[in-house]
Amino acid sequence: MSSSPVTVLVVDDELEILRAVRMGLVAQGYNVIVAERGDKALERFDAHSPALVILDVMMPGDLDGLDVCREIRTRGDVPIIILSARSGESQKVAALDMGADDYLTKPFGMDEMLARVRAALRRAPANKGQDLTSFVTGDLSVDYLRRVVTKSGEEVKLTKLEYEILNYLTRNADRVITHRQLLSAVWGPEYSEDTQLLRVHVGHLRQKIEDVPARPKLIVTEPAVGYRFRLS
Amino acid sequence: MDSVEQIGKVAKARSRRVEVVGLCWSLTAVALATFCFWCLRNYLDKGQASLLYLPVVIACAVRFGFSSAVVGAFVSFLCWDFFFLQPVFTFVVDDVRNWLSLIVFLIAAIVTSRLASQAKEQADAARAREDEIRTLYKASESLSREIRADHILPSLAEQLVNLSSATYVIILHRIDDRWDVAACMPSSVTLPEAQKKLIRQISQVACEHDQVIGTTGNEFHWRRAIDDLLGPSHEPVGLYVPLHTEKGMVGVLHAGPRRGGGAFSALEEQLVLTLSNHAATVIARQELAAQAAQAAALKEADTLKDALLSLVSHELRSPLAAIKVSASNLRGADSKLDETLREEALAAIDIESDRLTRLVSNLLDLSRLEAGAWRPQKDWCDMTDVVATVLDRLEPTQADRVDVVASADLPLIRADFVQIALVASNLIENALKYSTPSTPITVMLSRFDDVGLLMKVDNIGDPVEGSEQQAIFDRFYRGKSHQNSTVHGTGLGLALCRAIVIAHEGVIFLTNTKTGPSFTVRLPIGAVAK
Repeated sequence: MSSSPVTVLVVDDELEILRAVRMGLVAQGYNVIVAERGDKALERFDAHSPALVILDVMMPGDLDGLDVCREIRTRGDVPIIILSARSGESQKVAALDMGADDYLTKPFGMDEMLARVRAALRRAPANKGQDLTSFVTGDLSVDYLRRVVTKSGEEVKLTKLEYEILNYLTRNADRVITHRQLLSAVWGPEYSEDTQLLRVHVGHLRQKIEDVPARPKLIVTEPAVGYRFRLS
Repeated sequence: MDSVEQIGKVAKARSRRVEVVGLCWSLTAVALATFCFWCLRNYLDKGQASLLYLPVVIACAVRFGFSSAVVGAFVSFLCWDFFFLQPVFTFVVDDVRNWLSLIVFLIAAIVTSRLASQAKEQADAARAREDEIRTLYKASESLSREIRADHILPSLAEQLVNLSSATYVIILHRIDDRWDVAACMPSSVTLPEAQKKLIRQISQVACEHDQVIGTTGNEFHWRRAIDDLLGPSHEPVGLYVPLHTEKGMVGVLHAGPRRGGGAFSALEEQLVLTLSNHAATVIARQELAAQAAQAAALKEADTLKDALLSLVSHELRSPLAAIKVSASNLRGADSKLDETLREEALAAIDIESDRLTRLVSNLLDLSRLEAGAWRPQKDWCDMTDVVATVLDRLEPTQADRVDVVASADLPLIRADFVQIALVASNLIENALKYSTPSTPITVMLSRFDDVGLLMKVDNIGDPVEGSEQQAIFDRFYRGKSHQNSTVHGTGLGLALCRAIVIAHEGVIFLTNTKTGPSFTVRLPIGAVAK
């Protein structure tokens, strides 16, 4: 943030949340624009071209949170962080399926939000870097060219499906991947509902790459949503 | 009402027809007897004719009643005279002894017919009484078999339609000034609006005058009132019986006009009156049950309100107070808090608002579950994954106290990941909170036959008394040993667990082991897992 400040658009119909989030972000040096309605959000998105959008997916109105999410996705792949309440599981999953990057459940702590914001911004330029040749985190490394996975220097034998899962998750590291996205990417769109398949293969994959498979640290489960490959 | 007169005419015509039929049969029988006797006349003494005619006449008396028998006796008398007494084929009788035989035969025939027909009437009456008793028995038996209260009155009305010749039976329940139809049988019957209104009006009269309307023998009690209401040309069709309970009039049982017209028989009237008593008892019982249920609901609501109030006053107010004090300390213009004290105040606000959040979400989750508004979104779940997610959210020092033992053949189950994770996190957090500090907690996952999955969370500490083992899952219940302890609890966690497990058609229970209480959750697999 040494150069020009990063612009963040925050959309929420609850003014208290809007005020608190703005305060937290401004304190960290971000340039914050707020909107409390769907139509205003799109207007300001077009006027300011923010680098990141924080969006309450449960916002009511003619243009609700999901509509705004869909509209923003049609205009580009700017990272979107969804805010939702515990009762809004279905909207949350819908928004993530639509391509939102991450989510936070209200009430959340500001440090948690800042961490997600930083992660999303860090990822943003790399998003286009799908032509990466390798991935390394901790003692795990993936060589995309040779399709070889090593852990602590030793090669890990993965089945084709396990490799494809790991490939997709590491290329989207630190980002929430929904069941539907992962199933479509690895098995094909016609398998997008078959979570049983996913549970079994992710279980096997964890057996091979996690230090303690019963306490996974790399491929973590996002309850009712999907998985996230966590960077240490 | 013209129809009633017509009905009367029809009934009279019908009973006349019965008599004519009886008469014809009597004459035929006598003619047959005469023919047989004529054929056998050479083998019989003419004085013995009476022995043949007498059984025929008695048979007629038994079968067709007294009047047919009398006609039969006279015809027999004439036939005997005409065909068999000298001079034959005339009604003249020359022998005085024959005259005597004839007269004695006639008297004997009439007297025995009288006796025989009386015996028959008594037998009929006895049979009618037996029928009545059997009918009532059948009715009350089938009523006592009816378990659901709201089915009893319709079933009673149906019985009455089956056992009497009423075209329909309606039971009206009077609540204040409103008449509710409690039963209407047969269900196919639909009455025009005007007739429904008429039925309500006559029911009103029956209740006001406390009189059975429509029965024979007490017309003077009700005819005036009905005439006042409907005008002299009106007459109610069917029976109206007011239903009494100790609280007064609760309704009316109305039996529609007889099928095929005519007046109800005494048996039918008796049946209607008896079943009306049943109906009154049933309505009284239903009203009492409704009152009792209402009282119980009020009491339950009261208890819940008390529990909620005490929860709000303690569990909600103390974190709020802590937050308020910390915040005002931080804001105070002349506050000279050093860095550590500022940190402490901020930490207090953070921790206490987390506590409030947890409490409010537990309350909301529980009420959503109990109202059926939070149905499980079932999907395939790996229980080890569920437990790992729970442990991942705990403080590392706490999570390290938890030992997870999962059997290798653990099946996937169909469950709502979020809800089941809530169960696991409540049980694990409870175990951490209430167990002897820094002792290990064991979570065991295993297959339960081929149909389910067991999750067992072992606590280390004092056993839970038998009387508390069920109560501990009730809302707002806190274990006796913890009621005054410093450990914060809301009595919502286990209630939430139970509500979720029940929504998953599973079971949750508490047992005591050597080392302390142990919670077991049994969940069905939900579908055949691969």
